[in-house]
Amino acid sequence: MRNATTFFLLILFPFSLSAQDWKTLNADDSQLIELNSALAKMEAVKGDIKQEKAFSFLTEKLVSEGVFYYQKESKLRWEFNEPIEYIILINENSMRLKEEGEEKKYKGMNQILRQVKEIILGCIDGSIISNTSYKTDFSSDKSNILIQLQPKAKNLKEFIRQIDVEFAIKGSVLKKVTLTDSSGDKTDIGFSNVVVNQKVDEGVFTDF
Amino acid sequence: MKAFLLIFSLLAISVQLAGQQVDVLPRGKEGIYKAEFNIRGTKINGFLAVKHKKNNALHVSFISPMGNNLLEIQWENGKWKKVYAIDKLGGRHIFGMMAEEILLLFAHYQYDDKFVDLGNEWTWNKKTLLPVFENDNLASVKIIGKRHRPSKTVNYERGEQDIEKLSINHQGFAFSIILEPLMKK
Repeated sequence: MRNATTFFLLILFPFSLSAQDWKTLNADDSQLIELNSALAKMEAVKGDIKQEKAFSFLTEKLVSEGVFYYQKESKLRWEFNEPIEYIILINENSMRLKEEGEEKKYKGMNQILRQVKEIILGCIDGSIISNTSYKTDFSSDKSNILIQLQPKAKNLKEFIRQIDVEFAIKGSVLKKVTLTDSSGDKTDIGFSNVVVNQKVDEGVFTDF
Repeated sequence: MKAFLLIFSLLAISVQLAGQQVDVLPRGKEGIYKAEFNIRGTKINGFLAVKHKKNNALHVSFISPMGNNLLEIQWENGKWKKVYAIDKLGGRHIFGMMAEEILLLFAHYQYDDKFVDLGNEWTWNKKTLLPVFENDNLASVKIIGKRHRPSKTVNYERGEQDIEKLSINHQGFAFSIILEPLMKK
């Protein structure tokens, strides 16, 4: 009997440990106020990115790796170097794209690039938290704050079903962004080696 | 019973001509490819995820480098089903063209009832397909449509073991697709 009880607890225990205990936060919660305050003071951020795209019909994921640089206001370099070279440069209102060594200008993808600008930039600088285009829910566990956003507008819903943004409470560091597209497939973008407020060369945002 | 088993085995296997291998992505296998689409001078880069299911359905997803789904389609029993498409790729003409190109690239027409193996040439969907083999592996297929329609050619570049690049080029029309596998199972 004792052995059976122990066995039963061992089976259950890993599940209770692995599940994150998220508690709902109100928009005026002190943890969120502190996060917003930290993000407002952030002048520059850089770090490594690892993007994993899961497909509903495949067992393997597509993994892309690269770096990002951000500078206030609205300057972003989003660069993948594996498995293909793909660089987005955002400098205030201009946006440039380079794929596999060639600068691209094509009209059909403008909506996607605008979405990238709004979502990725918004996640890094925190502006997405107060973006009224999304219905927003906040929660936290002992180490992280999770912000879940669902687009309100129909045209945005065609691309994105939900955006999950995770910040570490300590240091208000961006940890992960999960994009769930309208088909249900998920893209996880993990951030590592994040350095805040270290000077970034302006050429990073203007030159490929 | 023996006759039934023989017929069943003949129907179950993919096209093989005297030991020649035609399967690009065997049944049950999946692959993710670096994809480059050239449409009238405009180059679009992304990735193509493909799964050849056990019932010979072909599930395909074309995504942008940022991970956005651009087009997701599934071919089964001779028909394509559009799971998802952005506006620019969802139109009947472009969708139909891309769907056929994918069947040609992966030589998946061999699983269609309309495919006929005539030995040195095949027919499929009112087209004549002229395969070329090197060392018993499919190296290229020239597709000839109706007399006034330009032909196109699918090429397979192989490494020591697997296909390293597959491409389709249209003659007389600026359209091509180039795929390079990232991983294959």
